[in-house]
Amino acid sequence: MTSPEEWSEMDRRTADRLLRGDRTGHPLDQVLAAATAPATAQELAGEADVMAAFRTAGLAPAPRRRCSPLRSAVARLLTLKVVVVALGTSATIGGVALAANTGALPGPLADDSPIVSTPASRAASATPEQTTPAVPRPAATPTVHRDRVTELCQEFTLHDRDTRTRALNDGRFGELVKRAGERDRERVEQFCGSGPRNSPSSSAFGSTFSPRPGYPTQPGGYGDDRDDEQRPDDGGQWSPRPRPSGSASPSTSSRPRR
Amino acid sequence: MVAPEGLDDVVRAAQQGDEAAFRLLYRTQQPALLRYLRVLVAEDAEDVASEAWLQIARDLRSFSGDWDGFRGWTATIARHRAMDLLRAQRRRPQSSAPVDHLTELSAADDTADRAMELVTTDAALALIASLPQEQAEAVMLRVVVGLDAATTGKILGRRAGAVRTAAYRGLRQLAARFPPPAPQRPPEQRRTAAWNNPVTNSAAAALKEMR
Repeated sequence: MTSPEEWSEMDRRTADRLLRGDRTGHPLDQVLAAATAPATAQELAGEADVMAAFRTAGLAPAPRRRCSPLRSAVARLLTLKVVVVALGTSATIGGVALAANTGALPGPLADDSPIVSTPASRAASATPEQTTPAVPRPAATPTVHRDRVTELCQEFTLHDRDTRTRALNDGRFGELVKRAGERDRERVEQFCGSGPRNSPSSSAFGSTFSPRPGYPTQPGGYGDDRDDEQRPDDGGQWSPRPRPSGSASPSTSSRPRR
Repeated sequence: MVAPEGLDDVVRAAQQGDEAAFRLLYRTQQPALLRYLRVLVAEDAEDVASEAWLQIARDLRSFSGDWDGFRGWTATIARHRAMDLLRAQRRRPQSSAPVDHLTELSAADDTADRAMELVTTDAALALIASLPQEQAEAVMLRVVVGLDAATTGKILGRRAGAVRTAAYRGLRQLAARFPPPAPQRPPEQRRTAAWNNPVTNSAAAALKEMR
């Protein structure tokens, strides 16, 4: 039996090849091939739910990035008009209401009006979570339009002191740290305009740390910004799933014969 | 199988709401994510994976990047969801099965024709999950999810060099559970354990055996 040291040099080379997905003739070929074997039906069993979530996400209004100056000017004009019209209408309605109050009109008008709007908007804002009962989540909120940093601030300030310090080391708050300028609790608190907080919820780190939309959207932006100095130095390109994943040709050459 | 460049287009199409494209992304990426999660959270992997996919479906349109970026992004989401779960449960990642059970998990069989089935995916994942967490994650993200060292480092919050070392160490530890490579091996060691050396692995070894 060779000691690990004796063949570790070889192993380092072999390891490189194994990591690249090459066949090396080493028994680990089999292990890694099995780990990257084609999907089983069971592994894809959640497809229907995921597709439903995708469809639901398509119904929600798309997150708006930025409006052109022209569009926002038009929007402002429209808003103004709506306000003017609304004022005019409310004046009219006011008149009507006054009339109703004074008994000049029959009753039902005032009672009917508030019911109209609700159901449609509820359905539209339904989110994917509602299809999976497994994990309780905070109710759907219209977070789509909210600024991501604002959101991170909100989440951040929910935590107590210790948790905040810890949270800053979490890559999820990387964006916030970057905006605040420093991985420093007080700095970020200042940035978010919040003071210290020592609520009893400090023990509920796990549960208050609930999933949240708006993950880092740049390919280089996920994870932790401590690694900014890193550059892909092994080619920078990811190969596709590196291992021959089919059961077809690649395996036959290494298959023993009798 | 779609070529990686093709998958760049698929990512874009899915971002524009193309269902077929998103389905393809799911089918291509889900096995890797699920297996990675199995190494992290064992039997909770399926729940965590579906949670991750709900988020992916929801946030896809705000993602920007190609197929490579998509793989890194989805792995990041999956890991965050797994860490949320572990934090909530106040536990550490654990292996899905003790290594002793590997022989049961692998479809131990003397039939050489079934070589590829001798190591099942379950057994392989259990073996990798038995490594220290950083090594297991490095191996899974690099080999199974197919990320490079730098990206894996970003996801794990470590330097690329540290990721490389962790992956090497992991593979070396795994290799140590196998007998040394075939040419140096005396024939009588061959059949000592079904798991350790279920088959001969190279043409050279096979030839040697025939003599």
